[in-house]
Amino acid sequence: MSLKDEQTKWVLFLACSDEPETRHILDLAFGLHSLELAGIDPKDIFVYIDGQDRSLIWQWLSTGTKNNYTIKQSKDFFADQTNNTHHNLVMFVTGHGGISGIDAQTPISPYMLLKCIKESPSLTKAVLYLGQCQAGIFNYIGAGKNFAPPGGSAPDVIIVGATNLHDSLSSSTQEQLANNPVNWLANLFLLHVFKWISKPIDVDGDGRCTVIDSYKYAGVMANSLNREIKIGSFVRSFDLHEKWKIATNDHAAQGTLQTQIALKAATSQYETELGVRYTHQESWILNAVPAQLLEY
Amino acid sequence: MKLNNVLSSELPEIGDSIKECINSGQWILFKSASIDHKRPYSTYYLKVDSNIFELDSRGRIIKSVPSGNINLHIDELYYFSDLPQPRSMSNASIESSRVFA
Repeated sequence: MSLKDEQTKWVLFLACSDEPETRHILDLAFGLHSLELAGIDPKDIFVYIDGQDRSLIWQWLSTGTKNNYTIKQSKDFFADQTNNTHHNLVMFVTGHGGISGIDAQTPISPYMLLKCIKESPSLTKAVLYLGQCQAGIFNYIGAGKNFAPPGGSAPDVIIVGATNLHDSLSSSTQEQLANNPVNWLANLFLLHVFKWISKPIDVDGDGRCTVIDSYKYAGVMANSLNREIKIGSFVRSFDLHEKWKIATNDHAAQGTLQTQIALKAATSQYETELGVRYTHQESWILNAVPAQLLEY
Repeated sequence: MKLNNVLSSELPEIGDSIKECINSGQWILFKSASIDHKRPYSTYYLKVDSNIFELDSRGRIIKSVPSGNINLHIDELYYFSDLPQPRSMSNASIESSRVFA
């Protein structure tokens, strides 16, 4: 039996304290596209995204699908889990993160999320893929099934983090989604988790495609691209510095809306390159033994 | 949301850095019927984070659009077809990883 064969709830999750960034919605659009390509039934896919502009959120998410989905808010996930009937949960988290946890109106701390999952009725196994910055604060917590109430039972929770106690890596990509190719700054680790799910590979050669393979694949791909991007960034940064200097001087001389936005663009490009150069990302997995046994 | 391609020569007043931000997916170049109902698809707009700017026919940024009351609908999304676009990271190959592009 596998996650795709059993009663599994597939969750795409984006909490935020303000409006969600387009790039994070597109992370989930790619995820949705990948889950559907993998043959997962849309009725088992649940989307939770915070934000006021529900229409614009759906416009971006729908680039990844030709089906209709109801997009709930992050607080609804916690409410929904109290009535859970699925045996398994696979949850993908994007958005911002920090020392307080996942960014939301009330930041979602590690134990807030873990408690919700541990107390979900009917749930036996859960896999969480965390793409946000400082995902490592969700590491080293009582995820295993032995962490249960006295005399009771609790699901086995596997947690995979894109990065430990660092920022997570995003880079521009163009991906073919449901209708068109779309360009965005993608969370590289999650991108490759989703890619693996749509086309699983037995990385460790044990004859099965398991959760541990998804972690190893996404980690190797993200780290390899990270190295390549950093080397290219060093080369590009000289040119970007010159462009930024010119834009700064132009705006100082003219002070128009046009020069202001041009300077913002030059600064954004330059800062993005510099930021990537100093982003160290090392993925991790908590509760690795059941991850070696849990097949997709 | 319909994807369109545009040549950089059609909007010559958009600066190079802005074009890079658009093609990288950081900023959004689009047309919309939801902002100015009198000119539904004649005007380009640029979305920079949560701000929206109106462009003239040559791509010059002419004013900021108050976005508070708009139920924004992005009808047409644009990339510059004659400028570099990002490659597909999900299809990247480790074996063919290059140091220089």
